[in-house]
Amino acid sequence: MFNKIYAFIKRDVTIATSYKLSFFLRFFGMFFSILVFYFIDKLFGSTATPYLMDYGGDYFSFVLIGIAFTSFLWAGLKSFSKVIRRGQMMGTLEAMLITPTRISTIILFSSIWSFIATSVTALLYLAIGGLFFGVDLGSANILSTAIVLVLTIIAFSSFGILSASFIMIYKEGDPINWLFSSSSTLLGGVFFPIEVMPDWLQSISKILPITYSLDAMRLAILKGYAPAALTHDILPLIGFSAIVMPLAIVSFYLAVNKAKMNGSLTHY
Amino acid sequence: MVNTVEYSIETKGLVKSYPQPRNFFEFFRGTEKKPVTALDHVDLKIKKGEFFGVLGPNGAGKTTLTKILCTLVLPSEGEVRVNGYDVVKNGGGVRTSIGLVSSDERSFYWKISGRENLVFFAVLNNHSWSRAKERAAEVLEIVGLESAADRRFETYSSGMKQKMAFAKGLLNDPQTLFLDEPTRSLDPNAAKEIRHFLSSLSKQGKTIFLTTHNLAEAEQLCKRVAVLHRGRVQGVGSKRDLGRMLTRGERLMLVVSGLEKPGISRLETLSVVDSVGVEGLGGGRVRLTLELAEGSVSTVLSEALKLGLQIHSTRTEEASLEQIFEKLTTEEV
Ligand SMILES: Nc1ncnc2c1ncn2[C@@H]1O[C@H](COP(=O)(O)OP(=O)(O)O)[C@@H](O)[C@H]1O
Ligand SMILES: [Mg+2]
Repeated sequence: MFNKIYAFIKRDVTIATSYKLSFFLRFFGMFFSILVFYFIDKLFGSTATPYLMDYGGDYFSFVLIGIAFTSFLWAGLKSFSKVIRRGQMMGTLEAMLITPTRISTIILFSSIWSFIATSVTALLYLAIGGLFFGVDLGSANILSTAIVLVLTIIAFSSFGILSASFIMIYKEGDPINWLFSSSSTLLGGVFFPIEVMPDWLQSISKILPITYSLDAMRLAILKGYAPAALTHDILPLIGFSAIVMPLAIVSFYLAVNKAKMNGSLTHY
Repeated sequence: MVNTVEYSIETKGLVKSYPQPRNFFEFFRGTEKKPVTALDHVDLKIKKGEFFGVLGPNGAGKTTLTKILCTLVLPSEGEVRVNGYDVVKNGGGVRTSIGLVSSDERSFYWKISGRENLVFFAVLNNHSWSRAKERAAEVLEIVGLESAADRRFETYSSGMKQKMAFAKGLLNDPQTLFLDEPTRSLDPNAAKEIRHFLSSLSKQGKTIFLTTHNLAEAEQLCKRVAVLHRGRVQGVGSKRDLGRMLTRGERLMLVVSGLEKPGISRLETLSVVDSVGVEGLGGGRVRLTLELAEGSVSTVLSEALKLGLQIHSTRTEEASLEQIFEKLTTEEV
């Protein structure tokens, strides 16, 4: 199994490094988006403070963690369907499916690299914030951060696998991804705390896993909360995964079966 | 288990029909589309170690058959076993024992080298990392591409890509190797090389299943051939039987006069007549070209006389293999 994980990561790293420019572009993109929020904080920071007391009161730190960890939402939601879509278009999905390796393994391991890349990105965000913009990361609780991160990846991935099942059959326009990504950035508290929204919008936020992920992440990193103090976030995240993951796995297998039935594993 | 089975490939009553994709409007109107029947009751038994060919024109169902045998497409009906494993119930077992070489060069990662591709797919074939590297080197040697192995895949010529596909199919040292039109899109020299590999592989006792639309290739390589047309197996046999399978007999050419429409229909409905070609020659004369079952010329002639036709000349010929197969292949589905 480790041979396979290694093989997948090596493949993806080799392919990724063959596009050297995009590495740098990505880094600069990050730096600029951080700058934008740095200046917004300068302008309005003090106005925001009363809303942000739970997280230490600093808007810049708040939004930095929001941006850094939303990338896991994207990775979880998109990497599985991307693997399938690309594999269908390039013909490599079929080439992998002819081997004794199971399709679930193929999809799972193919996504590892994108989660590693996302983790590096998130760390870079935090590092840039800490080194150049004076964000205080000293009191972070590493264990809590790790637990919340793992739960976040699992919760988002279950929606991602669900969306991959749609992609497998319908190729384009999967509703899960669209609904989820557009609502999550608006209502999940990435750029502002959900408390500033009217009650009815807040209640929608409560059914989005990202709301719990970001809340827990901020409390763990900025306030150093221990895992026990985060149960109000951790339990909902476990709940989401427990419901959506089995559903996602079943629908994925149904989708593979359907694709094998209508011969569309390599159609595009 | 694998060693005890007599047949590498066994299909019984294999049917495959693809549902026709419906577009948005058809979906909401509930329009039903008739499914496409790609394979129609295919029965094949291929012995261990055989070099077996499937010959058929475009759209005959060759790729569909290959993919079903390789567990990439599920059958609609029937029983299919490969190396003793059921393709529906034990796809994993099938996949440990087979290799596939398709003519689709898209099945590689273009941004990494040929060797890196092979090592990756070797690991997916359950080799350890170090064994995968060894195995990649071995198959590269078999196809003679060691020197180009470390270049990016996108830089290869189509002949090299096809050899790489070949190398990939051999990674797990399969008992049965499937090749779906492996020489399509290759120049004659490269195709010759591929055929050379194939003969030597066959000598090692592997079962080889090859599809082609090239009659000469099938004749040259395969011990036994099935002719597939519109999803049906027209016949299975050795090279020598191929002639008999492709034709049901003879061609009779008549120049007649006094022929009316009903007369033509009458001739067409005779069970020994495959097809009737009609060509007006002027002056009430008509040239008829009839494809007949073997030994039925006299039946047709006596029927023609019964119809009151005046026969001016007759000529019979045996159609050559190429002619007949060409007729089959130009009759696009
Ligand atoms: N995925 C598919 N969906 C619908 N029809 C298909 C599909 N694949 C093949 N067909 C149809 O099935 C028939 C056989 O195709 P194929 O197996 O590709 O033949 P060949 O490989 O001999 O050219 C054709 O009529 C083709 O249009
Ligand atoms: Mg084909």
